[in-house]
Amino acid sequence: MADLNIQTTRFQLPGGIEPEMHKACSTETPLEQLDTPKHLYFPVHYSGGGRGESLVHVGQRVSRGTPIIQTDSGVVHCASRGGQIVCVEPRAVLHASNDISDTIVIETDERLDQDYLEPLSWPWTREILIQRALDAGIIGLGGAGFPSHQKWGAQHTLVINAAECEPYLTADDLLMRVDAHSIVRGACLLARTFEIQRIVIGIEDNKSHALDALTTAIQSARSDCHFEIVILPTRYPSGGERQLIWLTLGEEIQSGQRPSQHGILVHNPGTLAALSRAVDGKPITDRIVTLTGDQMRSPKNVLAPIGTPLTELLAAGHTDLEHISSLVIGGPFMGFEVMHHDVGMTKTTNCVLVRDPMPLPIEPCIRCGACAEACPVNLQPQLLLNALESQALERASHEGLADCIECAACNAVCPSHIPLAQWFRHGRARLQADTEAQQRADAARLRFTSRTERLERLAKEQEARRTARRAQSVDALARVRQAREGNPS
Amino acid sequence: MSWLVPIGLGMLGLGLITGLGAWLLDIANRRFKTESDPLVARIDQELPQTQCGQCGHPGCHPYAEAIAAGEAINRCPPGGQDTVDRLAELLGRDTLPLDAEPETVGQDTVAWIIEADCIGCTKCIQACPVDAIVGAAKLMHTVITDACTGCDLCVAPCPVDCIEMIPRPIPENRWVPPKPSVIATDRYPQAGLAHG
Amino acid sequence: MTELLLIIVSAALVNNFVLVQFLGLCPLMGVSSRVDSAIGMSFATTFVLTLSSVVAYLIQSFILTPLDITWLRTLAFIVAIAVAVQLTELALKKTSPLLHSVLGIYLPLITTNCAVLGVALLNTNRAHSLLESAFYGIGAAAGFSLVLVLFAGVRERLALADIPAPFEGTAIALITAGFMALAFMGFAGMIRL
Repeated sequence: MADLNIQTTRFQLPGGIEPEMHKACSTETPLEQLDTPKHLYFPVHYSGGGRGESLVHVGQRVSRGTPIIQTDSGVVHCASRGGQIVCVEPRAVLHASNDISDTIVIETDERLDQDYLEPLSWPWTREILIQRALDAGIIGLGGAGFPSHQKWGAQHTLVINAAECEPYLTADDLLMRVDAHSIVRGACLLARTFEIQRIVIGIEDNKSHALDALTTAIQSARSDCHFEIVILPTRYPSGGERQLIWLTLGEEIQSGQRPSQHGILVHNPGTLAALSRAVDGKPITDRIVTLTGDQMRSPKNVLAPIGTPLTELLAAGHTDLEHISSLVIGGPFMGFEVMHHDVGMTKTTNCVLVRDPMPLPIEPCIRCGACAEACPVNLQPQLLLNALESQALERASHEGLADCIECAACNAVCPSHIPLAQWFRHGRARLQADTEAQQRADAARLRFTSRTERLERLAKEQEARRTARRAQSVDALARVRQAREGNPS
Repeated sequence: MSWLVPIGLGMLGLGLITGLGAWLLDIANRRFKTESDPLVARIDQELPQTQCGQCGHPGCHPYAEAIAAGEAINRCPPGGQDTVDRLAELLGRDTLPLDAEPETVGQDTVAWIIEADCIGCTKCIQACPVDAIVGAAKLMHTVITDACTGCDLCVAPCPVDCIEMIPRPIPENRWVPPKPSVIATDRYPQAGLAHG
Repeated sequence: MTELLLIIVSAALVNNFVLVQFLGLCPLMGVSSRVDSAIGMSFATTFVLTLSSVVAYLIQSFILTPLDITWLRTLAFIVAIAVAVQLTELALKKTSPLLHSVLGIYLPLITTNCAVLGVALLNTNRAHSLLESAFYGIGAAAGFSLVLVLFAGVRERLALADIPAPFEGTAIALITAGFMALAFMGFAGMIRL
C-alpha cells in the first residue's frame, strides 16, 4: 500500500506568464484509439537517441514490436504495427529542421501478431533495467527525446513532471486520467531499482481529474513507495525541469550544473508509463497526441501508433490541409512549424496545433524590460537580443545565453513582437556548435603534438640503432683486421 | 662661478634619484624574471587545429609562432574570417580579408574511406596529422569521424582514390536554427509569436 | 580624519581628474573598450599613482628642497614615475601575463599619464603632508578607476549598437565622455577645497 502526501508549493517562480490555457476543448471528449493507418513512417536519424541505422531491409515483414532502428546511443526503435517494409527512402522528417532522412516505410496489414520482449520479474539489476529501456526504445516523451537511461545513476529523488504547463497541451493530462496506474508502477520500479528515496509529483492546479486518478492509483498500488504530490499554481513555464525542481523541492540547480549532480531525476509521466510497459515486455508503440487549435474541427486526444502520418492525425480531428493556416507540432511556445505534411509522427510528437496565428509586425526594441520581468531564469532578454543581433556571441554567453530554457515567455510579453526565443534558439545552438568545435580542436591539437613527439622519438631510436649497428660493424672489421695482421698466412 | 653650484647640486640631486631608481629596477628585474612568451599559446588557442598546412607551416603551432614573430594573420582558410578578426583583436593589429578561395571556406567536412576499394596500404594513416585513421598493413582502414579535422591531407596519397570528403554528420539535437527574419510578413509565421 | 576623507572625496568626485580636470584621457580612450581590461588598467594606475605620489613627496622633502633644486621638480617626478611604472610592468608580467598582453602599450604609457604627474605636482602646490599626499593619490586613483570602468561598461554596449558610420569608434566615445563629464559637473560645489 503506497502512501501519499499532498501539499501546495511553498515556492514561486521568479518570472513566468499566465496566458490563456485553451485546454478545455481537447479534454471534453474521451481518449480515442486511432485506427492503424495504411502506412507508417520511421525516420532512421530523427526518431530520437541520435543518428541511427536501419535493422531491416526492403521486403521484410515485421510484427508489432520488431526492432527496426538501432541508434548511436543504444536506443532501439520498434515497429508500432505489423506489416511489410516497402522501401527505405529519403523523406522529410517531423523535426524543427525540416531535414531529410532515410525513412523506413511500413505498409501495415491486418495481422495482429506481436514481437515483444520477455517480461522481467523482480529482482533485476540496474544494468538489466537499462538494457530493457534501450530495447524498448525509451526516450523522454515530454518533448526533448533524450535517451532516458543516460539520466539514471546515483539519485535520491525522482520528480514526476505532471505540470504540462504549456497552453493547448493535454496529452499528459489524459494519460494520467486513463492510465495513472502505469505511471505509479513505473515510478516505483525505477525507485526500487535505483534506490531512489523520494518520489515527488508536481502537478498544476487545473488538473483535478488527473489528480484524483493519481491519488486513487497511488492508494491502490501494491508497492510500498512513498509519494508526495505538490500542487503548483497554473503558470507557464512551471513544467521546465529546473523550474519544477524549484517549485517542488525548493532546490536551485546552478548555472552549468545538471539535476543529476544534485541527486535529482526528472521524468515525464509518459516515460514512466512506458517503462512500466517495457518491464512487461512491451516496447513503445503508441502515444497520446493532442489534436487542438482554433482550426481543428474536432479537438481531442488520440492514442496513435508511432509513425502515423500527420495527414491521418488531422483526419482524426476532421480537419484537412486546405483549411488550416499553420500547423505546429508541440505547443504555441515551444513547438515548431511544419513545412512538409506527409511525414510520420515520432515518440516526442505530443500535440498537433492548427490555428491562424496572425503574425504581427516586428518593431524595434523599446527597452521596456517586460521580457526581463517575464523571464523565469532571471535573464535579461533585451541585452541578449542586443548582443545576438550584433553577432557578439561571447557577449551573449556572458549574459547567460546558455541558461535560457527557450520557453518563449519573453515572446509573449514583448510589445514590439520581437521573436526573442527564436534568436535565443539560434544563439544557443551556435554556442553549442562552437563549444563542440573548440573541444574537437583541442583534441586535435593533443593528437597532433602526440604524433609529432612519437615520430621524433621513433626517428631518434632508429638513429640510435643505426649508430649502434655501424659501431658494431666497425668493431667487427677492426677485429678481423687485427686477426689478419696477427696471422699473416 | 656661483651659477655652477645650482647646476652641480641639480646634477647631484637628479643623479641620486636616477641612481636609486636604477638600483630598485635592477633588483626588481632579477626578482621578477619571466620565461617564454605565452602569447604564442594564446594565438594557437584561436587557430582551428586542423593541422592542414594550408598556411604554409607544418601545423597550427608553427603558424602561431610565425604570427607572434610578425607573419600575416589571414592565412588560415579553415579558421575563416572569424579567426582572422579574433586574432586581429587579440594582437591589436588591423584585420585583413581572408587569403583563400571563397568556396573552400566554412565547409565542415570529414574524410570517408570507401571500404570496398581500400587495399590496406597505410599511406593515408601515415599522412594523417592527427592520427584519425585506424588500420594496419593489409587490414581495413577507417576514419574516426570525431577525430578527423577535415584537412584532406589523406586524399592525395591514396593510390586507389578511395577517400572522399563528406559534410560532417550532425546529430538531430545539434541542428542550428536560422536567425529569425527581420520582416514579419513571412509566408510561414513563427511559432510562439505574441498572440492572445 | 575629516580632512583626509574630504581629500579623497574631492580628488575622486568633485575634482575628478579625468572628467573635471581632463587629465589622463589617453588611457581612458585606449583601454576602455572592454570592462576587464579597464579593471586591470585601473589596478595598475592605482598602484602607480599611490606609489608615485608618496615617492614624489619624499623626493621633494628629502632631495629637492635640501639641495635647493626644486626647479628640477618636473624632471625628477617623471623619473620617479617611470621607475614606478617599470616596477608595475615587471610585477604584472610575472603575475598575470595575460593582463600584461591585453594592456599592451598602455601600461608603459602610464608614465605619460598627466594625471599621475598632475597628482605629484598638485601635492607640492598644496603643501600636503605625507599622509595627505598618499590619500590624495588614492582618491585620484579611485576617481580615475571609477570613470574608466563606467566608461568601459558604456562602450561595451555602444559597440553592439547601430551607430552611424561617421560617429563609429572614437568619435562616439568622446561624445559619451563629454556627457559623462556633464554628469560629473553635478558634484561641483559639494566640497569647497
